[in-house]
Amino acid sequence: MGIGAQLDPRPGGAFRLDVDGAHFASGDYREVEPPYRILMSWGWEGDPEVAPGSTTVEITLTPDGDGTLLRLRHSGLPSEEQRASHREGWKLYIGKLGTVVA
Amino acid sequence: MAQLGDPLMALASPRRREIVRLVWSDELSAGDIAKAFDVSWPAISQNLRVLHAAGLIRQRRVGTSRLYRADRAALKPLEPFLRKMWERKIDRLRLLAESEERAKSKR
Repeated sequence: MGIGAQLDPRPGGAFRLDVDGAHFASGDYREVEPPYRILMSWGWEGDPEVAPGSTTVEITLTPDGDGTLLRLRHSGLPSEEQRASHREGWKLYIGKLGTVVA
Repeated sequence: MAQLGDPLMALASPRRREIVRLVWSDELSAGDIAKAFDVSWPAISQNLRVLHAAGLIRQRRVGTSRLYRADRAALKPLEPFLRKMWERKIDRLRLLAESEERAKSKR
């Protein structure tokens, strides 16, 4: 997802994702347990509703048969509308991830 | 955004007119709409929010998805304008130019 990224994946490290040149997601890594789990803060620059630091994303990877089960939990979103929108967005990008690693 | 909710402002963008065209007779999920454009999710989601706030599209939830459809009753007075815009090649060209720009910046 995105056209550019700065990632510093260690506890306290920051990330900044350039999604399309107009929308930037940023946050910092809170907990990093390679290769099983990441907990990071998440927000959109310039968006007061979902400001950087205001929500958290937890991603866990678990062996599952021949593959890997990815679980993503996005907590702290302020409204049902935002939850629905982020749910759709994650579904879209995780779907793309599926085609990249398949 | 001071003009959020204004139908004319909502339809001033070629991208949003194209979204309305897509959901004119088909009810589509936000994911389907995003796939049709090859643009980022936040861009689509923002445009859907503007169209919905202006009362031009309806949304309903089915399970974990949201489905969108043009509100043709609300769009009735604007339909001749929309049809004229949809026929103009300039809209398509502008969208094409935009996606080529993006493809370049991805490289």
